[in-house]
Amino acid sequence: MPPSASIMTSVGKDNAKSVKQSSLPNRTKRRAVYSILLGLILWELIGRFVVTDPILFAPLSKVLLALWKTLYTGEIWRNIYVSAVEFVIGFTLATVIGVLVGVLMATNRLVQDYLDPWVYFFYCSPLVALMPFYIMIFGVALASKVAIVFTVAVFPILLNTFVGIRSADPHLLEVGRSFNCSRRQTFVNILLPSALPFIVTGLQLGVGRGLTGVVVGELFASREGVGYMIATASQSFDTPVLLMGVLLFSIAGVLLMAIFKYVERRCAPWKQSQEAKGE
Amino acid sequence: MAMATPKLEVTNLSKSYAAKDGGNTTVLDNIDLQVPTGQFVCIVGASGCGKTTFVKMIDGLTSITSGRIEVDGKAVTEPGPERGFVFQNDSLFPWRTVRDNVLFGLEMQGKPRADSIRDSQEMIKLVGLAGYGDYYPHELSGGMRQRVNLARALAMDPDILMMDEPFAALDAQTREIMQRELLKIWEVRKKTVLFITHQIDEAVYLADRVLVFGARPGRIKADIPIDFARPRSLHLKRTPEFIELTDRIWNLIEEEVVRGMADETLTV
Repeated sequence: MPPSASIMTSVGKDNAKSVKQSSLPNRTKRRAVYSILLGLILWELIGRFVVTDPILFAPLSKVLLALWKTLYTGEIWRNIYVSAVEFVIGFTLATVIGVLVGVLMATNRLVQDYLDPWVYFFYCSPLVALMPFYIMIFGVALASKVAIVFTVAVFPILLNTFVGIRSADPHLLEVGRSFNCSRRQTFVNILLPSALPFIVTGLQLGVGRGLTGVVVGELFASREGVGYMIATASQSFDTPVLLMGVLLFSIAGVLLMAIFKYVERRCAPWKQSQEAKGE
Repeated sequence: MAMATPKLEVTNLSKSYAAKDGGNTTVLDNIDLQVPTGQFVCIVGASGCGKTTFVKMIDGLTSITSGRIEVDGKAVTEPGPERGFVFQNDSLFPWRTVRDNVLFGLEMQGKPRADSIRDSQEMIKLVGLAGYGDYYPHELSGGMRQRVNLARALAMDPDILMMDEPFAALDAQTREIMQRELLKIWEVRKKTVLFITHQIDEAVYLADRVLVFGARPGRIKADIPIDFARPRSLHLKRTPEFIELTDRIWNLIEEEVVRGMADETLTV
């Protein structure tokens, strides 16, 4: 071992390209806030002065009032809870199965060749159409909703996992071979980290589809849940409650998406800076 | 010249691939080479002459069609810790910090992490990146990334270091600095080095010996000793002796390049 002194001339700290995650420019942020406010005002104005028929539309204030009432009586919590449970169970199953099968397909040629046509077929199919079928098999309670959420969310997760592992940089795989990595070491240290950002993208796609699954499932046949709330509101021409239900689903979607964007930034910081550099 | 057992001995080495038309393409034809311990060998040659294939075979990344490669008298069949490879560019793991990239090889060997971290610290210092251990590759410049690349290979303390155009992606100034610093490290760590480059002045400046590869099929066309005294300063590159030697090597390669271009025009 040589003396521990630096042999190569040290590079100055200021030489490092500082790529601290810069937040969106303030102007862009400001405009986003203006845009949202304008949209909400427009909603209110249209509801009050343009489409005045209370069955066809409701202004924002009435929707918020309906929300306040249901929050006050507490009946809404039960519905939110039921929909959330359906989504969480179905989505968790989809994540576990999707990632597992995706990995299997990407690492085993036989599995890939046999599953490939089916995965593409189901990925492209509008699988929510299976809902009536699921009601027949699983009934109107929790199981059919979990099944539909799972069915619609699993394929984007599976496919993205597969593609993620397959698109691992061959240069990095060669580095692994040069260091004599075993199959397991290659998988854990190279393939999986390469696939992680893809898997997160798959989860994002799955979230949107899964929420749609909950809505369709509950609209079709249910006794509780936010979708059920929307369905009963429509039967009693209670437009404010109906729109409130839709709004709740949208907020859930936005929140979940934000969480996954955060996860994506955390597990693949280098992707962000590549985008920032325009590569 | 009587020589002790060479560090690296290549005998009758050939490599060929099955070509599309059903025949065989010979990439390397009957290469013989002996490299004594601690020698710095640079390999130059026109594109497509099989230089990269040659060093990848020595590292064990590419299979041998016929012939033999021996390191310390032991036949090479797969990659091993006594041989380190510095890849061309950006082969760092983007999800690992500088320290964890340097630790990669030791980790794969199952070395205790506490010991490895001490070694990696030293290695990071050696390549001049002290204080950058917790940075990610995308936060570094190209020159700094190549320093990490070098440190990752050196961390395994290999006897033979293979470098495939490691400075090709760097700008001219960074490149000269990296050349000087590579020599400093080599003088301390006494590795046997095989260094591929397109830049003839880089080869002459670094090497004890320059191998000029010829193309179609790849073979060693000339084996030129470089006897400039060490340590060498960058001023050496401006001396007439240096320029004369670079010219001579360039003339050897030029024939190949011209021939290669003629071949391409014929096939097009």
